[in-house]
Amino acid sequence: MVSKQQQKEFITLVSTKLTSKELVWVSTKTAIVSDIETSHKFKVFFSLVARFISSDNPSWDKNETETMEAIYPGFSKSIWSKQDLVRACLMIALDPGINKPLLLSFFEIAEMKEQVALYKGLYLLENASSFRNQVAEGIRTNMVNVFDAIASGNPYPKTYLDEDAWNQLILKSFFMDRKLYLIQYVDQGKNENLANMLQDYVKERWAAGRQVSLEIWRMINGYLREDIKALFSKRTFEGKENEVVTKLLQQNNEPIPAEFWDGMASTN
Amino acid sequence: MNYIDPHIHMVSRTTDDYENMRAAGVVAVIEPAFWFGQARTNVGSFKDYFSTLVGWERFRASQFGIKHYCTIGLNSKEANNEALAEQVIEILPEFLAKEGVVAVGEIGYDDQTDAEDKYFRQQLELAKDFDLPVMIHTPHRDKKNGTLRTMDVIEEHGIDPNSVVIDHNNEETVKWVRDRGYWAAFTIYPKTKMSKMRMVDIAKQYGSEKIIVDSSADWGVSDPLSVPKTAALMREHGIPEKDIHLTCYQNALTVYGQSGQFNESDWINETIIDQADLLGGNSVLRGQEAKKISFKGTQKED
Repeated sequence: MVSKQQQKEFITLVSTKLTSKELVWVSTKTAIVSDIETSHKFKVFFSLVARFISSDNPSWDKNETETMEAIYPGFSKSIWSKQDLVRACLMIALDPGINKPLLLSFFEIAEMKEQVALYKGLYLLENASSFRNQVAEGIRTNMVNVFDAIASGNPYPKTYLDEDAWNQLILKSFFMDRKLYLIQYVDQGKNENLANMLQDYVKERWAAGRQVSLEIWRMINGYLREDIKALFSKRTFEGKENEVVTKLLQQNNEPIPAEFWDGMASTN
Repeated sequence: MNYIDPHIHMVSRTTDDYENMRAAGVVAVIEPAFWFGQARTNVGSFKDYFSTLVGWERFRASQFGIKHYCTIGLNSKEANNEALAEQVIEILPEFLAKEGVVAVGEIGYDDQTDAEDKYFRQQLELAKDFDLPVMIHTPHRDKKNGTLRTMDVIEEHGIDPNSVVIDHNNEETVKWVRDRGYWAAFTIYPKTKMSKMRMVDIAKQYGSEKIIVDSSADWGVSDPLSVPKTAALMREHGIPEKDIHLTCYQNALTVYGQSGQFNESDWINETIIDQADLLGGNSVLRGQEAKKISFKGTQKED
């Protein structure tokens, strides 16, 4: 859970990336939304960020990155625009006693970039765990940038989702051709149910004469079934795929290190 | 050449339309909030419709290399259900504040009832609050009086005609609309309203100042390629390139650009849309081969 102190550090660091004019705008608006009486203005302010804050992506030095990673593990795996950062500050400013109904109703009318910022920002809230159903719903989106906001460099899913929802996230990542290695805590999310669903998926794809992402084996490693091994022996593999399959068989369900998978996926 | 269709209802169109539009040079579209073909019965339907305009439809257009913008408003037909209209007016500000919303619209009169008048005026005030241009729908019946009355009311509310586009003009209304300083848009339909050839004649007679061509293509018989086709016919009939550029691209950019939400830089920088990378088999692609679309508009020609 993100503490009040960490929220403050986040806001302080974000402030250093804003122009003085932007900073005045943000301070004024966060003050208004933090007052329960006027918190309903959150929706319009959240939208108006597009008009008052530049869409640039700030750069972070080593220290800053470390600070952000400590608050929000995975922060550096995805791009945060200044608009995303300011929107997160507005979310933090809401009183946790009333933020749930307000944010849930805003999700219903949020445009594409707003949805991205909302899903990225939820982890930073004190009551982040109250938004499990919303994030599970978000996984059902077909807007790729919205899906990525949940899947890439976001600690929320592994921290708060139950196994079924997490497994849907991983399955859908493959259906949408997303990069698995960008999912935060991906290796901690391995489980037998998931590995079985993925192996069934591999069989289905191969039967249809189609390929699978090599990253799929990262989640299967440890749970490799005999029927899949039998299929291996009937197929010929080349290049990277051959490398991965050979490694899987050698390791015989002993874990293959994350570095192997990360290196393979990031150069793919 | 690049074109903008500043009035088209893409939620009713197919992916073939998107592909053909992009191939014909359409780089950006504006989708005004309008009637569905039948009346909505609750405010939730409006909320979801507006959300679609700023959400899924925007995403869908992007997959075909087209930038999608919209206008938000309560259309005049549905303003006649007052109980519902009250609720719709309540939710409009939340959408007017959103990125890519370039005007309040399309609003105006249909039957010219008291209820239409009431909500038209309320929305003109919203345009002032949010500092947005206005897109006007003029009535098909009693067009002359409806158009004149529309302009009177806009001026009564102190709105600058230079930030207002009056749509669905004909040979008669265009004179008054331009004389009073408004932008005059023409909807080119394959059968009814304005034809391509009549538009060529208007361009010959009036030139290009403050004249805008659009398709208003929707769920009825209409043509999403009206803008590029009209441009081609203009070219064939010797209308200067400068005038084609203004009427089929630049004028829309100038007037709706006043919103601060509609910028050429959004589409002139090269973007590669790789449908496979973005979508897999799960979204707008249904098993067909993914394409790489190299998408780069060109700079202004004059």
